[in-house]
Amino acid sequence: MTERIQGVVVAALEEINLTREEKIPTDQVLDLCLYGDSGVFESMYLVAFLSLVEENIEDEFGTEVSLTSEKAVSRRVSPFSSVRRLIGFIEEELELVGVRG
Amino acid sequence: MRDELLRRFEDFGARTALFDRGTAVTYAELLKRIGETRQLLALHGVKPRETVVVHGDYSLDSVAALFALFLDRNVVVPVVTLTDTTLDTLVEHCRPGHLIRTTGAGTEVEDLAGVAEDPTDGADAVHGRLGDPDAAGLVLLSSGSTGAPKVILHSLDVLVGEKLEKRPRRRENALNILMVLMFDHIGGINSLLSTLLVGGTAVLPRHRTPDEICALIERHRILVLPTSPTYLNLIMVGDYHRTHDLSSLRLITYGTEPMSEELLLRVRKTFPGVRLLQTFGTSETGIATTTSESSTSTYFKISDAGVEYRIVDGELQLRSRTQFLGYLNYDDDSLTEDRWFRTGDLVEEAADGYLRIKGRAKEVINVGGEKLLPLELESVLMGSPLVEDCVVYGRPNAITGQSVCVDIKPTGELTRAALRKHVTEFLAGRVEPFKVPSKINVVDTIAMSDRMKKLRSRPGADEE
Repeated sequence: MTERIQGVVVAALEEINLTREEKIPTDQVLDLCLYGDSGVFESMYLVAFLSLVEENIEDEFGTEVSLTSEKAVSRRVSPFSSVRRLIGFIEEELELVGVRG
Repeated sequence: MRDELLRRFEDFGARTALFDRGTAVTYAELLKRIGETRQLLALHGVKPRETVVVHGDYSLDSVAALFALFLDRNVVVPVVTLTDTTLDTLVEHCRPGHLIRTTGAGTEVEDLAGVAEDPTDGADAVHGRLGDPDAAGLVLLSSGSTGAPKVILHSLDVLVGEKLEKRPRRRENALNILMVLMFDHIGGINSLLSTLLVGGTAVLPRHRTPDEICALIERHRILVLPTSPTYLNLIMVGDYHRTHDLSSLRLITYGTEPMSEELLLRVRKTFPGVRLLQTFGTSETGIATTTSESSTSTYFKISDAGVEYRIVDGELQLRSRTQFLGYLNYDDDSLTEDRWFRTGDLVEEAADGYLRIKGRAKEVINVGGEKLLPLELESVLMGSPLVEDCVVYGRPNAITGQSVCVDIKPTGELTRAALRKHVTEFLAGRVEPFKVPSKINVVDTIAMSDRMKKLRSRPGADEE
């Protein structure tokens, strides 16, 4: 399942890259920091990116997960600090609603 | 009043009034720039009582333009993002004679005489509604249901006069404040006037990213941070409070959108020792001073001698000294017969008189403090040849409070990705960026209620 989620996240990054002049590198994608001091997104773009990932997850797995829930934003280690953590968070959320890889 | 303001700025002299792009500007320099701006306006034939649009965000130029137009008894319309719709609305309902651009280097004045027919007559009509030939006016815009913004008229003399009642602060007690709220919002204008008229320092950000805001707090040892729940959230989620030294902060005020208990708890933990105060205001009634029950409570009292409140059918109604004079393009249907303003906020009152905001009576979507009405965006989207019908609604979002979603029935076969691309391109330049939906669904039918009203409630949409 991890790879499928990674595919969804990378697809979202690539879609965002189409409209960006400064491209987000997707080679070392798991360690890519999304938001924070060395993050690739400014705040409002982060929200747009997360919505896009939510849509793609819904299309891929047929179920909705929220990436901007109180649960997501109140984690001591933010799920937006790296793509790896975001994938981990999505995986947990999908398992909670019974979706298994 | 104008003499008093000038005398205060002269007295403050060498104190720092503004930090603009990192450069300190003293009150003496601000006064000089105000004088130069007045000369420039006269040179371009700007007449007293004329309506003038000031396009730009906070800068020495825009602040000087605001005060110059106040001194010259004009009606000022500050606008940060000037879209075609906004300019059309202003031309139609305010008949502005001139447009001042402070977005580039320096101040540029454009004559709008060719755009607005009979600008002086129209402007006089707007000024006439102030009811005082010697006053200056302020026009603010807020989301309106027809796609055009609501044009709200205030007396700038009343707003300035209220701040001048406060005594100037001595230099050692003067506060410095970070201008996070916008130049064209009531909260932003309120912060600016309350700071400058008593000799404080306003630090002007350029981009308002959480990163920049935190860097400015560290660099200028900011004491007061007027902000919104969304900003506080963005600072904490990005860990910016750890990468910057924010220990100078003494007071954080928050408003413009509801604060959740969970978020307030996190803010409290992240900023121990900082006083947290909820502010309450509307574009129509101004900002009211409040007392929060405690720094861990979302309950607050309106403790402002200039503001009365009452609760009717669960809705908070206000009447204030700084109340607006009316809408220039909408019926005053948000005013009751006895001139109370219906805020649209549903509140509950605890036994001890403290209030808590529960939600909205109207269908307003609040994205990080920026508000829009679904009808407004729907009417713009219906202008697209690819949209047969659509319904706009808000969904809870723990970062921005709510986010904008739209269900679209397209005119032909379109994938979600293709439709999203089209909508993003179609809305660029037509609406402000925060109004662009973050989520788009392709649907076959748009649900209607039995009274032919579009159903905007969605699962989860009311969980706040």
